[in-house]
Amino acid sequence: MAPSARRSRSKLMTEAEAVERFVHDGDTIYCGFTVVPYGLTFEIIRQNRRRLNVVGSSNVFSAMLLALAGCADRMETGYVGGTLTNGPINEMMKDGRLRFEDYSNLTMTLRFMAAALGMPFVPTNSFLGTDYLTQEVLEHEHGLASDRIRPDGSVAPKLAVMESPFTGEKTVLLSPCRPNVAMIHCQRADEDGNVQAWGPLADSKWALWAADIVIVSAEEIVPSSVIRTDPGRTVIPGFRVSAVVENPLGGHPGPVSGYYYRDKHFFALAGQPFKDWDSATEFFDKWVYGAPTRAEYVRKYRDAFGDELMDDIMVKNPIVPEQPAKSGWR
Amino acid sequence: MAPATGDAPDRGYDPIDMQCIAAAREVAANETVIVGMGPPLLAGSVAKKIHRPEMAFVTEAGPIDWTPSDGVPAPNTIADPAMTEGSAMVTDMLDALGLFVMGGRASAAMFQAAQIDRLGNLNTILVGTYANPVRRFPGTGGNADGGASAGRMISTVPLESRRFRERVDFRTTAGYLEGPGAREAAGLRPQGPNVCVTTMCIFRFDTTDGGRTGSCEMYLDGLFDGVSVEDVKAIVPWDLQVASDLVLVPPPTSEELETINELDAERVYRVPGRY
Repeated sequence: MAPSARRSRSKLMTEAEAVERFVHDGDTIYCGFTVVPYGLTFEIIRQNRRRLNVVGSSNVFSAMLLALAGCADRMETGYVGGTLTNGPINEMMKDGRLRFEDYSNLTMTLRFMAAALGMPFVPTNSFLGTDYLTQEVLEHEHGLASDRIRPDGSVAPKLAVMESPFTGEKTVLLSPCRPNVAMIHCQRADEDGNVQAWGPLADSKWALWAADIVIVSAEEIVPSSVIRTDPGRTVIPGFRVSAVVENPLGGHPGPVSGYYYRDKHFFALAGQPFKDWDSATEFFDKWVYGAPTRAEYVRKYRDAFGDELMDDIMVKNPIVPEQPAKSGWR
Repeated sequence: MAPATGDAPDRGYDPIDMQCIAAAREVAANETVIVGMGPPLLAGSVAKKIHRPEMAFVTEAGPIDWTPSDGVPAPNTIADPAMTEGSAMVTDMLDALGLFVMGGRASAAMFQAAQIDRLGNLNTILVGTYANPVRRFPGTGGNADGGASAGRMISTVPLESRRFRERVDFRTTAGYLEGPGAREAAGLRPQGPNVCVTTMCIFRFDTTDGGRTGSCEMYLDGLFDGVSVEDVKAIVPWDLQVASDLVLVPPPTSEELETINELDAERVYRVPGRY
C-alpha cells in the first residue's frame, strides 16, 4: 500500500464553485487544446465572465465559443480551428472586436514553458525570415499592446530578434505567457488535486505549470493511493492545483483517451453557432444556458439523440499495457 | 479549380486522391516526418502503411513514431488519441515540436498551406493584408515551426490561382525566402529538397544545397495523368519554368487506392476546398 497523502485538504468542488471562486473578469486563461475542459468552459459562459484573454497554442472550439459568447475579447494563439468561414468569428477578428496576437503551436508552448520555468524570455528559430517580424504585424492595431505594458509604463515588443552572445546566430525572443488561470479536463485526479492525464497532451502541462491558478475537471476522482502507486502519470501535483471538479463526460464533445472518442455528430451540430449569430444564440440557449450542469447536459444530449450516439463514442476496448510496468525498490 | 472529375474521364480516383498518394510517395527512406493537419495526415498515413513503413510519423500534439494497426483509419487530427495505440512515445508539444522539430530531428515536415509563392514560402493565416484581411484562415499551427526547423518541406496545396502567388499575402512559413542565401542570412538552416504536391502536378525547387545557391525558384517537375503543361501554366501567375526531363507521375496503384480508401473511408480528408 502506498502511503496516504501527508495532509488532506479536499479541493473538490462543483464547476460553478470553481469558476465562481477562481475565474475573474479580465483574466488571461488557458482552456485546453487536447484535454479540453468543455464543461468548465461552458460554465464560464453561464457565469458571463467578460474581457477574458484566451491563450493556447491552438485555441480550439471551446476557446472560440468563449469569444462567440462575448466572454473573451482577445487571444494569443497559433490556430483557431475551423470556426472562421465568413462567420461571426471572422467578422470579429476583422473589425477588432476580437483582438489577437498570432503565434504558432511551438512558440505558444515555449512561452508557457518560459513562464513555468521563471525565464524572462525564450529563444526560438521559428518566425525568422517571416512576416511575423514586420513592423506592421508587431504594431497591429488589433494586437495586444495594452497587455504588454512594462512596470515603467512603456510597451514591450511582441517579439524581438537578437544575435546570440555566444555564437552570433540570429534568434527570435518570445515573452513568457503566464495565465491567471489554466484549466484542463483529465482522466483522473484525487481530491488533493494530483492530476493524471495521458494521451497527446499538446501544450497543457506547460500551461498548467505556468498559471497562477489551476482548475481541473476529471472523468474520475480516485483515491490518493491510485495516484501514488503510479506517479509517473501525474502532470501536476496537488500543491499547484486550486480546484478539482468531478465531471464525467466533462471533455465531451472532445475525446478523452481511454474513456470516449471525439463526437463527430455533435461537432457537426456544434459548428452551427459559428455560421451566424442566430445559430450561436440557439446553440448557447440549448446547450450552455439550458443545461446548467454537465449531468444536465448529458441528460439533454441523450434526450435529443437517444442513447445510441453517446454510447457510440464510449471506449469499449481500452488499451491496457501488455506488460504492466513494475516499480519499487525492495 | 480546373479538372474536377466531372469534365475529366473517370479514372477511378479524384485529383485529391492523386495528390495525397503523390505526397505519400515523396517521403524518403528512413525519414522522420512531422505530419500536419488535413491531407498530410492522410498522405503520411498512406506512406507509413505502404511506401515507408520504417518512417517515423510524428504529430504536433505528442504522438511520436505512430504505427497504425490493421483497419485503423488515418488520424482525424494531429491530436487524435487513437495514436496512443501503436506509438513509440506519446508526450506533448514541447517534445514533438521542440525536441523533435526545433531540435533539428525532423528530416521532413509535411504540411498543407493556403498559399505558396515562387520561392516556396507558405501562407497559412490570411488573405489580404495583415491590417485589412479579406479572410482569416484557421492559423499556422506548427506550420511556421516546420518551415523554420525541419530538414525539408513537403507541402500540399491545391493548384488554384488564388493559392499560387508571386509573393504570398503573408509569409507565415519560411521556404527559400527571397532566394539564394536568404535562409542563412535570416538565421535559418538550409532546407531541402523541398517539394509542393498539388492536385494536378508536382513542383520542385531550383537549388541543390538547401537554398544557398541556384535560383531557388519553383519549377514544374511532374504532371498527373491527363494534365498538360499549359493547364498548369494557365493557373500559375508567373513565368513558370518546366523541367527539361518533365515526368508523367504514375497514376495510383490499386494498392495505393485501396489503402487510401481504407484509411479515409468517409472521405473526410478528400473534400475539395475544405483545407
